[in-house]
Amino acid sequence: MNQARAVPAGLLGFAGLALLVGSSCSMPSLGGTDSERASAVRLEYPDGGAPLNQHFTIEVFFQGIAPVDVAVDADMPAHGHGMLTQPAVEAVGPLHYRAHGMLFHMPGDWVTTIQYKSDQGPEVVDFPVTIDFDLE
Amino acid sequence: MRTAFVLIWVLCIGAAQQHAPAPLSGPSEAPGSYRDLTERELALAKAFGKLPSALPSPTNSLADSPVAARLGERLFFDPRLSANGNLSCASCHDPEHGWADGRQLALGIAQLDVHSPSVLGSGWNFWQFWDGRADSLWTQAIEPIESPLELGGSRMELARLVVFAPELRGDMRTLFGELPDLSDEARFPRRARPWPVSPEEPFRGPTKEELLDPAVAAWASMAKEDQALVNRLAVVATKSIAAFERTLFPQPGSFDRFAKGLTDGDEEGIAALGADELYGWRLFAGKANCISCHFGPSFSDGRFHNLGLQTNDDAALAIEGRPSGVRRLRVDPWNGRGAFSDDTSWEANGKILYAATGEHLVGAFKTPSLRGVVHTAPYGHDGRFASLAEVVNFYSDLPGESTVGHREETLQPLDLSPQERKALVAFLGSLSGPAVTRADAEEPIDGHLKR
Repeated sequence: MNQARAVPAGLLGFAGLALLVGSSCSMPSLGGTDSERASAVRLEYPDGGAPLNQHFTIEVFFQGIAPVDVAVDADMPAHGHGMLTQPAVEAVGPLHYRAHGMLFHMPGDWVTTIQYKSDQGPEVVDFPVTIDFDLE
Repeated sequence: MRTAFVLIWVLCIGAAQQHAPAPLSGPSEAPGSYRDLTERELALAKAFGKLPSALPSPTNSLADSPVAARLGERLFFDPRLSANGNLSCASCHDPEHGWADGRQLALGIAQLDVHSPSVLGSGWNFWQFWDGRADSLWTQAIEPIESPLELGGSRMELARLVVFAPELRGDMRTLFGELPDLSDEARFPRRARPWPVSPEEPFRGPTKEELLDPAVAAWASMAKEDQALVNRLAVVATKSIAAFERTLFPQPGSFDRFAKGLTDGDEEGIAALGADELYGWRLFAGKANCISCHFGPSFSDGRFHNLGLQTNDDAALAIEGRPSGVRRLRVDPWNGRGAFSDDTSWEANGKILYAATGEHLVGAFKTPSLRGVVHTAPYGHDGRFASLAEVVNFYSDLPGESTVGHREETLQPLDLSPQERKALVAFLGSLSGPAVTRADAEEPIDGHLKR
């Protein structure tokens, strides 16, 4: 499958970056480094990438942890607003979740945020992504 | 809608600059000719410069029926739908005013608190009304007919009209089947409509105050099965109005001829845009960043934004916008999930399920299309801008602080020069073709009209 895989902010090597890029990430993190948390979560957008201004579904995969209370949201930090939708998260399997009702309604820089609880407590991982027009 | 591609954001420079305006890129000087436009500016023009078709309407099985469109057109212009016999849908959506009304605020039986939008291109909209409280054109159509502020009519009168009017009943029979006998006024009072559905108490009955309205009292007195029959008749009528509205589109403008010229390599078409318009396009797609919301062939994202237009301190004048729209949408028995929808699946109605009501949407209103915009002044959800120049001046200066919600922070004063303002207005003009008359609506425009 030609699925775009978002790179978690925590994997980029900038200390504390995950806390910088997401304006909605106010939950306290109780354990692990940003890199550790980020490497435990992987996103897959639809084939061809997240569409502009259309509802889409993303797949969320966890590794090495047993997440509960998984929530997905996204916002545009530079715009000071989030999505126009409230995604619904479906548990596909113990380590696989699916978020329905995602909508990036504007071109620009978005941050998809995965919140969950693990045995380390509440966690937040951000996935920056830039959406542009398809001019192919 | 266009498919977008995703760029993985591996360079996070600037990531910490939260709530800063979006960076603007590309040249901002006036191009000498189209050859000075960047590849991106040319590609965007080619992508946007064509009139789109109406969106599919799975909840309306009559959406593309020529018979329904014919019946809908007659109803659209029929003043018998109004309580005073003088008003029709066309009173606020008048072909002489770009299928809007030319007024700052809509005026039916009384004045409303919002401006009448044009219905040209309304088939492109994901949502209807400024707050998007209707998820389809047919859902939308019943509200102005029954609103005491607008036409002040009732669904019973609508049902009786399509059953009894000789010029309408033939098409109605084709669409509905054998027409019922509504002549027993004890069962079918001449005028009857239900009480409004309350988002807070969607299943409540009428209040004492509401029952003071004879039309509401008459509806409350009807048998459930008779109410259901009248609803079914009224729904076919509004689905027909929707079928007509879906055939209404603005005419192509010089921007479309320019875009087609680019695609075809036709210099004559390319010459359709003059120097000011070319410069305006550059600004629209670049420095002014209008395409952040006004993008795609309809020049609208069809979504909701708070521009910070409401800057008064009078709470009575405040309009909440989108969150209120979503609350009303969810309890509307005529929405796509309701009993009168032709496709109640979540696949067809996911937008209802996922619609958000968050604080960030307070004060947000739907982005209007810019096609045909020179014919639809004034502008804004409250019609505050008398001209396109005033609109451009607003974005350049961004006066005032929002008192209802907060202005989207990507909006920053553009500080446009007089030449830039003039160019943007010129470009907006290029998105308009000739006015669409009622007679034009009888003829195909780029093959859109199917009757």
